[in-house]
Amino acid sequence: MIWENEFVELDKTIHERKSFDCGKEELNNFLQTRATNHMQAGVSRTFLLPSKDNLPDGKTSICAFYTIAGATVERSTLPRSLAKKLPHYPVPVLLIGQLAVHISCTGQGLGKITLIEALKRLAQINEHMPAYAVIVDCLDEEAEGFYQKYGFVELCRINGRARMYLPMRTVLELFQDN
Amino acid sequence: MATARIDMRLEEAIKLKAEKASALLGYKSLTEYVVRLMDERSTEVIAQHGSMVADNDVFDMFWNACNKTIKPTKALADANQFAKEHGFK
Repeated sequence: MIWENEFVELDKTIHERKSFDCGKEELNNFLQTRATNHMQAGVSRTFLLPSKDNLPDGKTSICAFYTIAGATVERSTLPRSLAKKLPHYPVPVLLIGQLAVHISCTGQGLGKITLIEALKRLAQINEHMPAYAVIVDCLDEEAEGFYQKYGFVELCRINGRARMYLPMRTVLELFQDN
Repeated sequence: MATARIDMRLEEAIKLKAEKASALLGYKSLTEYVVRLMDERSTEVIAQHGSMVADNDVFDMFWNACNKTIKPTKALADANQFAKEHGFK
């Protein structure tokens, strides 16, 4: 598949979700059955990179996608001695919930392009809705290694899966000269 | 307050069980019970969805990191360059 050079918001009337296959059932299933519902319910927004070629039914294939949402992180308890130094409220963060590349597009660097484009969009959102960090949920060890390579650090584990973060300041510095 | 309707089909056994629970809790109708359940559970699910709690020491490291300027790794800077070279602005 030859891809466009701009990520756009998922539109089920234009984008063919059923044929998307990143080799991970959970991510395929999310895009195919839940992403649109999540957008309609205001839970998250999904952006994708369309293929340049149209399918016979006029729809376009999806080469890669990512999903973003707002979230908060808070300390499990707040000791009195530190109460002045630490925030008393949940800290706002931005979340990359899912990120995947179609198996027919792997090995061409599209994973890192998708990550950069997701971070770019989150940096723009940060201008209007400031956040302290970008959080990612890792489906498996492969995803964990991917994010670790780009500087993400583990925040916690949920049901054995790593949740990692990259400070927003780092993201902003990355795009300073763009 | 504006109201809306939901028409739903459910197994007879679930309906009977819910009616029993609703009566035990003193609700005047099954509708009142279902509405209360939906409201409470929805609030819980929405709150849990976007809220993460970190252990104290991990949160403190996270908070310190967020307040420092940590340079992007070389891999991340290279990825940004790679995206630019492939026409992503």
